[in-house]
Amino acid sequence: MPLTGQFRETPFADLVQFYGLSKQSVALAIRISPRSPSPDGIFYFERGDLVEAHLDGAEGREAVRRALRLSDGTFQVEVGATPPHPARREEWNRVVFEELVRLDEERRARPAPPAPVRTGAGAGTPAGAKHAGALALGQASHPATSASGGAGARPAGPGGGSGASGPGARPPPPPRSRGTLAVVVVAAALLVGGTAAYVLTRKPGEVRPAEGPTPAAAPAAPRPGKVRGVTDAEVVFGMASGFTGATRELGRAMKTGIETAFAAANDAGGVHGRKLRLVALDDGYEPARTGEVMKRLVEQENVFAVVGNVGSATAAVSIPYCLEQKVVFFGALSGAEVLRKQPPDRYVFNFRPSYAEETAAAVRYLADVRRIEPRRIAVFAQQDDFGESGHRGAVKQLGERGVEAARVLKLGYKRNTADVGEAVAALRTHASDVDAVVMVATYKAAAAFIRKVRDAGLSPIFTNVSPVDSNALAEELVSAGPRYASEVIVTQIVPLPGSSATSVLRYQKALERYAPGEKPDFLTLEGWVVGNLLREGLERAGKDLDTDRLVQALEGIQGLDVGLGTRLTFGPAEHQASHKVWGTALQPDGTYRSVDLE
Amino acid sequence: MTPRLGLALLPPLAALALATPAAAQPNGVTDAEILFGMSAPFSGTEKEFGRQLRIGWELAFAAQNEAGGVNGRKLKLLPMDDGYEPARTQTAMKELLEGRKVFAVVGNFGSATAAVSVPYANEKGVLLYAAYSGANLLRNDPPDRFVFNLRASYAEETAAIVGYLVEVRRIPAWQIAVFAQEDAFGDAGFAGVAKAMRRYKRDPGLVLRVGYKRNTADVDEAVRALKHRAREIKAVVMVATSKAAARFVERVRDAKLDLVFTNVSPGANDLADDLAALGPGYADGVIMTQVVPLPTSRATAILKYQELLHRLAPDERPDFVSLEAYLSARVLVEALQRAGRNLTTDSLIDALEGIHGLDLGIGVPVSFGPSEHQGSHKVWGTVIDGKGNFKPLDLQ
Repeated sequence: MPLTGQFRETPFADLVQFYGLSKQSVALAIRISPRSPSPDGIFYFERGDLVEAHLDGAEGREAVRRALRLSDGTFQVEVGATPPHPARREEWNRVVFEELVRLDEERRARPAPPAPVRTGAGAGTPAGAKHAGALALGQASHPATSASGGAGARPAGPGGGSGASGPGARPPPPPRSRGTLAVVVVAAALLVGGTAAYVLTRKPGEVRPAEGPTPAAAPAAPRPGKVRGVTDAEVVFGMASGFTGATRELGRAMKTGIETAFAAANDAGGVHGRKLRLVALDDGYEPARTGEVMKRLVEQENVFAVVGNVGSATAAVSIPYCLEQKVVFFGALSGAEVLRKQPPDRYVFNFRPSYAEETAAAVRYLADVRRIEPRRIAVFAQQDDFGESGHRGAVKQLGERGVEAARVLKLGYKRNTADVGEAVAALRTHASDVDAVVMVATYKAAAAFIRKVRDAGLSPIFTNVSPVDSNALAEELVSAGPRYASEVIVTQIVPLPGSSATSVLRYQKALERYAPGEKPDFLTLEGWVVGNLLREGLERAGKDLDTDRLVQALEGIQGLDVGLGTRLTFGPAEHQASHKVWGTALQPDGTYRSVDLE
Repeated sequence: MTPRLGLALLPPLAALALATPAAAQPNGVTDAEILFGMSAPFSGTEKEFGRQLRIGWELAFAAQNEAGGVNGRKLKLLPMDDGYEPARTQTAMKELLEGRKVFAVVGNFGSATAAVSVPYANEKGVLLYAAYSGANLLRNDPPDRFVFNLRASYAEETAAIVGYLVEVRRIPAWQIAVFAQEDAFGDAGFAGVAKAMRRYKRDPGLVLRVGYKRNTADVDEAVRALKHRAREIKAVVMVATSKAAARFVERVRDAKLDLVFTNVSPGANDLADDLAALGPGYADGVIMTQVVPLPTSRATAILKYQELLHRLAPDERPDFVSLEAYLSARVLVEALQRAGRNLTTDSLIDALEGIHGLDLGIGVPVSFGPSEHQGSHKVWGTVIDGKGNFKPLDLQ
């Protein structure tokens, strides 16, 4: 669960120092301004060492340099999110050290007053920066310590509160934003429940020396179980998603939702006494990286099952691997067919309806409710599994209304781009034949497309599918001007996150408690539902958890009514819990109102 | 060097435990009594609705109190007059919840008034039960946690009647017009017509819709508009309160237009009386959909209602509105019993959501659930004879 703070109060240098000391593996998501809609950068620390840095388009040294000079921004720490790439640690630590020294020198060279507007008063003291630099150097000079002989240096983590066994092991304070006590209380609760166990149990063989257990950790360390990822104390789940790149918000939100559900479950004593924990790794929404990330989750992080992956083209890589390894692949944010074989793959379970169901609902809405002639409906789709799945659903539905597949105007763009120029040009040449566009796109491409089509003087109705990221799309369009926000429909697979339904009220309450500051959103709601559905399966699977028992338990969930507006049902021949699609329309103020699709 | 990051490990469980409120009796609940509020018209053109609703609720409460109440507590109703005006509903709801501190609000009247009371009940976390309205704003999908209905929706009523007109009476969809109140009530009914029209390949945008303003019976404009299309229109689906509907039927029949009239459930008895008073030619053949059985029927629950009415309100005759209120109250009493002595809004909601297939003896079982806050989807057909009496009518 995220810890949050402001650089004005906790400078980046202090964070480097803290995670260096505590040797935690975390992702630090950074917003340059508190008003940034999504993180502007991400920094990965692996066992205390900075191993990857991105900030506002910059990477590596430049990203570090900029981060050290941030004063207005905010950060969010996500424990357990480790980077996908093996790191070259020495080099990184040298970079950090050199940049700290340079910052130090800059400040010394600057005349009084010592607290310039760009840095907080405390953050600007040369001593602090210098000291942090020295510590970072210390890390760099003993790169092998933590990997081989560092039993004593293995920290118990902030929540463990074990006695200090050396300067490197002294558990320093977690970052705290003064004046945000509630955040800290919640964060502390999670640390006690999650992080302590995390630090104590994580990869014992890999980190600790083969002989000579860690004195502080040994009494609390649970026995490793026979089932991968399952001990008496916890069940570990993995997630591979883009936490960088165009769809990073999908990954972040999905993860937040799942972790909120896990945190609520853990506060209630866990499942059969076991805490639920999520290890999330970044695949950048690139199938080429997914294979390596999945392998690492299963074979190094030893996760029990995979939950909440974002992406269809990436799922095409993950699923064969999960089937081969007999790993449950649960509740992915994808409506593609590759996750929905007929009959369903034994280890693949979905919560959400398919993209084909979403686009079919959109076509029905356009044709029946909006009275658009079916032959005047075009499709704009990402050129990969995601777009193809949605395209097929629309074409099938149009086919039932007498439109030949070959006659449906198909426009497209490449994944991880917003290059829509060609699609817009193609639409312009067919301008007089198109009254509506069914879009199967992510928000940047979708927003670019809608803006350019409107700028070209065309006024079709646009429909989008749920993974577009409704709120990001709203922000892009509303900020461009109210005229871009009209006639934009989004199909949803969860209810409005601001509604007063029982399930949604529960979600809102949990989100407020476990992810304070996080506004209710379709994506975190989906993650929350997925996390809870998985929890239900785990409850039913019983104390003797293994993959087959989980599969059987999940297949036993029939007609489960959690107040979502539809019953959730799995079975041996049904591995998709919901088939319900809601309609929403974007309003000029950036909110969504519900629209009856029928 | 002292790290500038302050250590902030507060005891989390203790801190969270503090947030749990101590068990105390909720608003409106004492050891001896449970107080329910109601906001309905007891003045103005629709005051008969308030009166009938109150009769039905008081009847069920009185019968239960005679039998010792629920878990030792007597049930008490506190009605407030809102004159069927949303602005006054706001005041009435505030007075009920914040002034009189009722436990829950039951049997409110109206759709436009519900547009005020629903968000308020949600915000306050107070149960809004069995409002006398079939509007969709009381039927969100998924349903609002604090809003429960017994009756079928207006959209279900009008969809059923369009189906009847097209399939049983063989009137083509394009020859059906709508006369609807110009507000949330009328819109809700029209939505059901539109949905049914699409089923018969009729563009709802082309359906002739005429109307009138809430709390009036100004139908001249509507009658004029209908006359212009007299040659094509064969049936009018009304979504209107009784006074406006009666005036509309009267004017149209006076204009010698031979049309089939249907209306939705609200104010059935009133409409029948008003039409019958005009003479036999007016009432005869007017069709009404109902969300409860005929109040004069011999079903088990209805006999009980008739007996109570006879005993406790001997001057009143059986009426669709008071019957609906009575049946709603019976279901609520069942949930109160299941919620047990430790009554809270949450325990009552859980108990309501636990009601599956409850057979009151009305011909259709009542079911709620976390995703289903409307107990019944049944629509009955009735037709009025020349004397203003209701006869059952098979809609299929």
